[in-house]
Amino acid sequence: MKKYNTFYSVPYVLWLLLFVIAPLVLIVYQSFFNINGQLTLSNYREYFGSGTYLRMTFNSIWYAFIITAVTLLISYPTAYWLSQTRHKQLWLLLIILPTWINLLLKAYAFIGIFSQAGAANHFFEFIGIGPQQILFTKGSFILVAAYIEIPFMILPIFNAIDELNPSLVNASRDLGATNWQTFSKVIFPLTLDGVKAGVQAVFIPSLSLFMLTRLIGGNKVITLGTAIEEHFLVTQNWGMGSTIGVVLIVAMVVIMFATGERKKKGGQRR
Amino acid sequence: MKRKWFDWRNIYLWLVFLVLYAPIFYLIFYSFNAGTTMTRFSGFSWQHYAELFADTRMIEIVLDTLLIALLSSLIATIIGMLGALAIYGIKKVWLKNSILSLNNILMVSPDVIIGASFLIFFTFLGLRLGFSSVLLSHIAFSIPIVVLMVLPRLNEMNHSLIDAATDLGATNVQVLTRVIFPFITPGILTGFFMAFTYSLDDFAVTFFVTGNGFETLSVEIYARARQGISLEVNALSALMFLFSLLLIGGYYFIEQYNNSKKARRRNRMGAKLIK
Amino acid sequence: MANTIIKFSGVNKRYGDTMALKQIDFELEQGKFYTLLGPSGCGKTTILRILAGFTDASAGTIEFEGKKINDLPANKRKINTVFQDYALFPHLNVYDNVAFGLVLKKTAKKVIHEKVIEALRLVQLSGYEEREISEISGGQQQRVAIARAIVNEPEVLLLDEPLSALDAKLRTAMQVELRQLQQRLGITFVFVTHDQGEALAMSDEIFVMNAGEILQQGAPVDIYDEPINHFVADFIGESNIVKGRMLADYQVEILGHQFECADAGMRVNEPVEVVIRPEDLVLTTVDKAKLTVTVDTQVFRGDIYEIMSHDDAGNEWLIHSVRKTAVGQQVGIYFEPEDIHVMRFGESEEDFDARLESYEDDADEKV
Ligand SMILES: Nc1ncnc2c1ncn2[C@@H]1O[C@H](COP(=O)(O)OP(=O)(O)O)[C@@H](O)[C@H]1O
Ligand SMILES: [Mg+2]
Repeated sequence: MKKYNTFYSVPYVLWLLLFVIAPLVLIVYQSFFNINGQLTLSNYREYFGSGTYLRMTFNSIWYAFIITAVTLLISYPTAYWLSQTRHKQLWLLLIILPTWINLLLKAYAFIGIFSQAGAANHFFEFIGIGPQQILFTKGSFILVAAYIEIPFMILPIFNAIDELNPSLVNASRDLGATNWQTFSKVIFPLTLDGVKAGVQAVFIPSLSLFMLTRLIGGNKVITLGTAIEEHFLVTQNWGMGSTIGVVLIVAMVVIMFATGERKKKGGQRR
Repeated sequence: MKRKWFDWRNIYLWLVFLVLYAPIFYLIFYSFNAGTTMTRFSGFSWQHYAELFADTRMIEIVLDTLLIALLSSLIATIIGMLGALAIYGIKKVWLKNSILSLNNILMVSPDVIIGASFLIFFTFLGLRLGFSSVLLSHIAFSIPIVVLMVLPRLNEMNHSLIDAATDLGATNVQVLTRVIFPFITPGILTGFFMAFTYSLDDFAVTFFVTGNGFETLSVEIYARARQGISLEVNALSALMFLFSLLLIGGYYFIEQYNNSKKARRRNRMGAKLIK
Repeated sequence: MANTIIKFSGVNKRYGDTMALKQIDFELEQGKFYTLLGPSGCGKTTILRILAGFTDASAGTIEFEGKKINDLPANKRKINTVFQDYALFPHLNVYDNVAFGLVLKKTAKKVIHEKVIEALRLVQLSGYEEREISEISGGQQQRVAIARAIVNEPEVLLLDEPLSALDAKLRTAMQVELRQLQQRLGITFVFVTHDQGEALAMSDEIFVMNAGEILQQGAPVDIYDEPINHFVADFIGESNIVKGRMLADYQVEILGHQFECADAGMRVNEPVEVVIRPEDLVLTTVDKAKLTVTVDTQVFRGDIYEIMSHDDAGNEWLIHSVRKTAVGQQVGIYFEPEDIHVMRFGESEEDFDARLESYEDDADEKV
């Protein structure tokens, strides 16, 4: 096998060097240049010095947190009860199907639904609240983001619940636990890995959903992603954009460590 | 577990499904609107579909998108599969783990970071932004998912299968083609499939690295959505939904076919035994 | 030796700091059934892997029919393996698994068909050709693994604990079948097991191994009757092992008593260990006894009573008796001089063989 190993690795190692390591190095490198191409620390000074960027970062993390929490609250019961249905694999497929619809189409649908004369306002009129401004609010951004992320949260939790050995639940009942005790003392702790995977899959993208902030949030919400897009594609201040990118990468690494998936991935079984 | 139809747990599930599908059906519903808004349905018509099919620019974009998806997922599948084989062959645990961590960087990175850093990278190389930069990016972000789909199959494979094949006289190439490939094929297919959907679905990375008028569907939809409602987009989403259903159907058909082939073989066996 | 087919000279194998094999030397003759016997981790699989060519020896030479094969890759050796976990290809059915090696050799389809059908008939699996591997039982999978190996007509067949996954009944049946198969094919089998009963029942020759070394080699009866040391005696069967002293040739002292025995060729007053098998101990009355013990436990095993007892010095004695006794009772035990097996401390197999030969000649002269 040995001879062939080098042959296998060439394209893959090239990819690792060119598309994983080089871009990372370049974005860090770029973050030390200002808009006029001079080497400087001013981007970082501005980022940590001015309240604007820090506030934006904090807001972004706060939104991501809310989106994650809302998604988790909806997804856990869904995954749990889904795993008890008879044709669970079919239902799961139906949960996954919407993720195959382009994200932008779903966002676009909400532009219609949340618009002044849209379905949501029809409903509000019907129950007597009267039409509201829904689109271009923070709430609409959170709702749409949560809507988009729900399947990504359900999937890992469902898998964790599905892998759970049913005799553990029976054992717990057998030992006198109530349904709630069984859930809180056996099922939930054992499916925590699925929850962590779900949180990871939702939180990080939520920091960077710039298209939703543009289409649904109407610039009411500015996330790290929005700021990066703005600097790269609108104001062309790549240095500042990269600086924010570096901050986002650091945030990502922190999340990864906090949800602690790394150790387990390492020990590959043969 | 026995459960009545009107269990509140079922109601909850139905609600979740309703919420998940309502926006999609809302879109599709209005694609048949004779009017031009997504708020008032003024009668049934195919007019937006007619518009869509007459829109050569849109059709070109759809074809480009499919071309990018197909090419990038094919190339990513080949490289990713080779990568998985290479990683599988690594003996040193620390090296294996470091490479796996590197592999996963693009999986967990937010799209904007990937887009921005690729943009810097391509500009640094002096590459013209357009078809090739988009294709390269899609290949790049699809490779790790292929690796992650193939590697578990390899790890699942009993190592003595390789020994057994060698023992029976197989050369290295024969081991690869006759034992390893058949065993990891499901992983490779899933990887290809995932890469394909990743590419179709991507917006942010493409948005960063495209240029010179080259657009994929997502970028085009974004541009149109920013300008407001255009029911041609609704017609497009209806067709894309149909396309997804076809893909799923195809996937199921393949699964079913594989299973029934086995079943048929068994039946033949049974017939023989009776004789 | 006639027809040596395999020869290991000075083979050792190291994995990092651990020596999996230390200085292995042996010769295998064509057409015999060999068994490597030893506890888990003693290096049995390592020997097979070196023989098959999956692993390289760290030092030493491996010869096959007089030619060094250290650098010959596994796919070029006329040796096939039956793996412990069978290693059947899950994507192929029974027929295609068995045909695998022949297909690789580009054998004609018709010939393949004949050979596969014949191999499956040999392992009594005719009619299972089209089954998927997942559709047959463990015992049947095991037969497929054997058929897949023998269809290539190897000179040597290696079997790594092939019966360990089977239940007791199937296992005994397969032991007989494997032995018959070997005799029918007339090729060399190297069989690995950690079950001494299995080894004794099947082999022409046994290699008892421990910690990367071959401790003793011989026919089952010889190893059972003349274990070279404490480890072999203990591993090869249940035994009573006590300390003793050689007073003179054919005279040994155990527990303060002097007994006649069948061993000689040692120093006067040399400290030794003495093995007496439980089935050689006969219960008797205290006055006729060679030793007196007190019964601690008694378990009925169907064919015999297994009696644990202790003597006044605190040594435990295991007795297999067809007669029943009572717990707590003092009983006498009796044994013949040839039931006493004397073992010297640290004697190598060569010295052991030499000593045995010297005094056996003696004995012959006397007669
Ligand atoms: N690939 C390996 N790497 C490191 N040590 C090994 C390897 N294979 C076997 N060993 C060690 O070599 C010794 C002998 O192993 P093995 O031949 O498998 O024993 P057996 O088959 O008798 O149970 C054991 O101590 C085992 O831990
Ligand atoms: Mg072993």
